[in-house]
Amino acid sequence: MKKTLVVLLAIFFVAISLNEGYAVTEIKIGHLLPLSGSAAAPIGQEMLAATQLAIKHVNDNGGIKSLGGAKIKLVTVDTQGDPQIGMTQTERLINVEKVSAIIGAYQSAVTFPSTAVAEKYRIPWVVDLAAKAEITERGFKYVFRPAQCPSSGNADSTIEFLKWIGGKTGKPAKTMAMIYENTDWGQDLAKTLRRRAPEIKVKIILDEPYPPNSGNLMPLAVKIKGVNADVISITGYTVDDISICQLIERMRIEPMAVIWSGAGSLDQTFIPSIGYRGTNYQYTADGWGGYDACVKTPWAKKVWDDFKQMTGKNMSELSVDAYVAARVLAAALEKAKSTDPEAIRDALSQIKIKGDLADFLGFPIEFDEKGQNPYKKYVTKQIYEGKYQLVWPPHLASHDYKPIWPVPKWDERK
Amino acid sequence: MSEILIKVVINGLLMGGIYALISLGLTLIFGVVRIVNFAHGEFLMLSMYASYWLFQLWGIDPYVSVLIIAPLFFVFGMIVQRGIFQPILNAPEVSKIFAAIGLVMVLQNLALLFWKGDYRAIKTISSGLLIGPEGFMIGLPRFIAFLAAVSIMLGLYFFIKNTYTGKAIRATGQDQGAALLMGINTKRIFLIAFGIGSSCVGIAGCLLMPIYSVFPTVGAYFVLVAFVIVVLGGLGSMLGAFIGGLIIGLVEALSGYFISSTYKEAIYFIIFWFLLIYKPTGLFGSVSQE
Repeated sequence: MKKTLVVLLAIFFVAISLNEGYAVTEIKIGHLLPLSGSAAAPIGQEMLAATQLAIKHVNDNGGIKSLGGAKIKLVTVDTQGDPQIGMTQTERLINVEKVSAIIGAYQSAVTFPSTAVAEKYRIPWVVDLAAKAEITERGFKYVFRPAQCPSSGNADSTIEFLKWIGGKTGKPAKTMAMIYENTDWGQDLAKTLRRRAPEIKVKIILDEPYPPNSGNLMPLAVKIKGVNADVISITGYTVDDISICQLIERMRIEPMAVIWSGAGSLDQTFIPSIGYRGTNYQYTADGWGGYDACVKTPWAKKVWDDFKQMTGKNMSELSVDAYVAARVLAAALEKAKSTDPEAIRDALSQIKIKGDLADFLGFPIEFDEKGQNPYKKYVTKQIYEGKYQLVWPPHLASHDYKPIWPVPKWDERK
Repeated sequence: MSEILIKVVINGLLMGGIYALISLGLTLIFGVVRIVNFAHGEFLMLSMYASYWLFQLWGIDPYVSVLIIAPLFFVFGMIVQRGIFQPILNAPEVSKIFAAIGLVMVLQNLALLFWKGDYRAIKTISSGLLIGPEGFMIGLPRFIAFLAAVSIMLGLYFFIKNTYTGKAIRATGQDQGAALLMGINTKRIFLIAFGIGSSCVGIAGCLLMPIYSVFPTVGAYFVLVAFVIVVLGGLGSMLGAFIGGLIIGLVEALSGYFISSTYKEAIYFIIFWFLLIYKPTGLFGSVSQE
């Protein structure tokens, strides 16, 4: 009995060591997204397509060459937008599927606790779109965020843009009215603006939170008009952004400029429901530069076209971030020359990407000690005649469009 | 200062008119059928979508689409009453509440399925128009909604006061048993009351469309206010719903300007709370026995 056991064990170990000796043919990567069960599912589906496309591009180009052309196999699971499912699926991916790394999970609420699980097992995680600042701020060793800024990034860009445009035009803003929706996101941005405004000598003279989806924002607009600030910073979602923008036009509020924090002001209904007169010259932050600024090389055009062919849609910040996250992980695998999670983590922490992929994102890719890509920023765009024109940062700015600052008075507009 | 105050007050009253319009249907259904229609907000959402699509597909202005949507929602309300609430008329209250909440789930998720979570808004001829003297200009759509609320309230009041059906509706609201004994077909009255209530919220949806965006959960934001208004004004009282709407609109606008928009709900709930302590039947309420 004992002998048989010893023999069996011997065979087992030999088998294992032989297996190690074989070249790797497949690298399993875990992937979490909300694909059903919530309003987030359509976005999850769009990001799934982008990640699949990235993996397909890597595999079609000979896989991971430093691993003998090994192919990446994506193991996608549906989180249904539920943090609990996210955490248990992360456990399963690591313990049952034995994945080497994980990509995901779009929503901060799912990504935040699930990355903690991966950290415990020392499995590297590349964050696609989740913006919650604490995901990287916790100082985890295995979490990397290449394409997305922390959620207060819009506010950082607002400050940097104000500094730049003030210097360029010689007409710096001195006072700011700050209007923001009163949930996590708005509060985060407000905190950053409050902290950084003194840096550029801007005084905040109105600091007003409001509940999202307010039926009546006119009293708020009366307050905004009353303080007569140089710049109005507005952070909110679609319904309220539309209401406030209409009120600014109707009540003839005349700041040097209004700067929106993306979200609502980028919604496809924003311009059509207000019209050109009301939306012209509005500045807004955006997570991605857009086609004109970022799709210039044949490499990027192929990505754009393939995605369009695959889904029938244009790429957006969502799909770009998902695509970039997957390509960054693939680059790390190439550099690591191993499927060992520890080696992949080390490769990620040292990675420096310039060229096609960085141009597509609009910024170089590397990681600071917290795992955040410090170069990634929100860009600033100005709306003109229904188009979003990129005006900042200068290296991405449109050559045919010069930012208008301060914006024309309402009487001078058509 | 006083100029701003007048502006804020006018704005609050106009918004109150819209709230009142939404609450009228709710209070009528409650007062007569004795059903707390939690799905009232979803009815509003559906009528906004209906008005949205009529505008997008055929270019029908929301003010014209009232003529289509009001009768459509009358029928829709009757179907809901006949199909969902009538069979459980004598069931315990809890069953009715769950039936209504089930309806909320179904309608919200159907909307999500068909129209996705996107916000949709329209720009009509009247969207940006202003009326009134310089300095006190108000948006035309809000003014129209206010006028509509007043006229619908008055219309309903006379209908209920003077017509035979109206009297039957009132009788049923006061005492179902007695009404039945007097030869009133209460089931039919329930259908009519539910239909009128739904029709009111259908009209509210059309009038709201030029001002607000529609999305599957839009109802939730208005229905909470509507419930406060209905209880504030007195369950079942139409005048109460109207005055209650104006009060909430005013409180919201004034607190939004003088304190902060963030606290407007806290403030009208404090008022609501005091009212419940000192006058639990609401301002004009008569329904208190149950």
